[in-house]
Amino acid sequence: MTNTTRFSSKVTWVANPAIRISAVIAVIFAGGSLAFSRPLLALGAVPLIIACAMAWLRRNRATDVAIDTELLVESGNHDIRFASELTAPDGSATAVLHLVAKSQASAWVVIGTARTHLLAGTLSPEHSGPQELLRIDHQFVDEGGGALTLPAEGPRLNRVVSPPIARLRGLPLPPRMAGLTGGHGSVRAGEGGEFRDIGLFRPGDRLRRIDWKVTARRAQTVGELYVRHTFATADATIQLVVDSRDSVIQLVVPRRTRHKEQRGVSSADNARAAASSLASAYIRQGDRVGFQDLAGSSRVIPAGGGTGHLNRLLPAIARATPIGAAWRHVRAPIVPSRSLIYVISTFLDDEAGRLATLWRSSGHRVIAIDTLPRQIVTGLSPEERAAVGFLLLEREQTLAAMTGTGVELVGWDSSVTVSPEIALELVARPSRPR
Amino acid sequence: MSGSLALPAPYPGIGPYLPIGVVRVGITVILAGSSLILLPDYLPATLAFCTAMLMVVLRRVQLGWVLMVLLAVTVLAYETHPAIPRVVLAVAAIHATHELGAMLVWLPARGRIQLVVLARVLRRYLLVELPVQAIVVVTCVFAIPTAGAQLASPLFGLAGAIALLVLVVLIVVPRLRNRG
Repeated sequence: MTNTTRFSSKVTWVANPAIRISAVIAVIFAGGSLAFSRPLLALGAVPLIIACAMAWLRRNRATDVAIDTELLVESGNHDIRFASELTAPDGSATAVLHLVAKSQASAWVVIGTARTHLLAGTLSPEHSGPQELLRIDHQFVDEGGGALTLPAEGPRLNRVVSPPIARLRGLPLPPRMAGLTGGHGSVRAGEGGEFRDIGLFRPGDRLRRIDWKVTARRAQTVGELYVRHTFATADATIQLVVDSRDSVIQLVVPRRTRHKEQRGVSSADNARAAASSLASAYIRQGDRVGFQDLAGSSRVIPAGGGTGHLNRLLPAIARATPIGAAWRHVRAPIVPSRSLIYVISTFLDDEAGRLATLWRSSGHRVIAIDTLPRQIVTGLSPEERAAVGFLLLEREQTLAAMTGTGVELVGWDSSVTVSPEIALELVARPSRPR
Repeated sequence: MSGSLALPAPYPGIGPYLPIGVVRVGITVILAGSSLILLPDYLPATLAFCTAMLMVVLRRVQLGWVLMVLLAVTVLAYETHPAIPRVVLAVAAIHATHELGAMLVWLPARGRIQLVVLARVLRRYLLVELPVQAIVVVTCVFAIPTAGAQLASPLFGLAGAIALLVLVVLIVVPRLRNRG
């Protein structure tokens, strides 16, 4: 999959300050030579005067610069390859390029421009979701070194990075199944499932369901036939509710820090990974999955199944990101009946917990996925540590109140040793369809 | 996941390059080395050395003029009868300070620099420096009273060495032939 961005702009040439200073120094040397009768001092001025004159005569006026950048994502690989073609202004001899990647990774490259150059590399984004992947800032120096352009911001390459998808095996199911077909057993009598009972043949029963052995053994009159009844199959309806109203990074930085470091796992990364993994696993086993983002009512995808539906779900999940201020729901969003609801949140405020409790009280099975990464508080003052401690304590109370109402809790943090897949499997074990 | 940005080496179609750190060390060595060679006194040598270091570290601050003034005043103005090589080296160092100072304006603190960029700077330097050095030597011969002898003595020495070598060959080779 490729994504091409074309960027063109005008650059402003300015004189190299070192050339101006050298010109002044050359004049001083020449003047000093005359004033103090030191002929050798004039020799020091000669190369400076010649160099400054050459730089001045060769100064550049061309202004147009173009940068074409192509991003290439290889399927199954998290690395993103890029190839950037730079068309430098006429007369520029050197290009100073600053390739700025997300998470403050950057590289400087100084190349001698022969008008057009190709620059290629690989990006390994730290975070998933919508983000600015690469920016190519540029500065040009002319042939004589006497003029250069002001450093300017180049093209910004934005892209939605897909989260990693874990392969989940044991998956929890809702207490009651819905639908007329699927991969799970149902409580209804119907076609295709496990054995239910043996009964008398009735109009509507299929002839191939007749159990001739039982008929031979039990039939009391001629024409009395016995058929094997089975349970119907059904699919589960899963509702993924992602709370992307906030994103919390692993490293807690002090308020006074000017440059907020974006290193480490974020809760949004965990949430996107959890939602994508769950959606893929459930749809792979034939269930229906819906998606809802608590950050906006427009980000809703009704429950559905199949590969096409998964292809709609995964981009929507990957785009889930905080926008604007967090807001409260007046009433709980509508979810399909008899569905299993996953509430994926940091639970740093009581909004997600309140909704989970509401859904649980209305009879849904609710599993809360806690996406808050393990917090690193090194470098904080005692007051800031205490503030973080109070916040986490409040969160623990929210979680305790939530689990007290029957909401099951699973941690999904890729920075800890306990695998989320195992935690989810443990939750799935006691649950059996009725 | 860990974020990174990897640039392959070598870049497609760009050719060989050097780490900018190496280039900066080289610039420091050139500027500080020439200052230490040319400035015998402790104080100006220390001042020039510190200026050279600061010039490379604080690239936004233009300090090249301090180095140029120090070299020019100490060697070209203060010394009444400097040796020609010292004058040649001082002029070359002043010019090098100018070129490297102009380069440090746009040279980033880290990264990679294509060798052709450095070659272009060197070519520009030599294009100016070689004719200037010819002027310097000629001027020195006329401006410094002892310069003629200074310039002639190495040439006479070289001629004497060659003559001695020829003499030895003329004497030794026939004797060796006779023995054989």
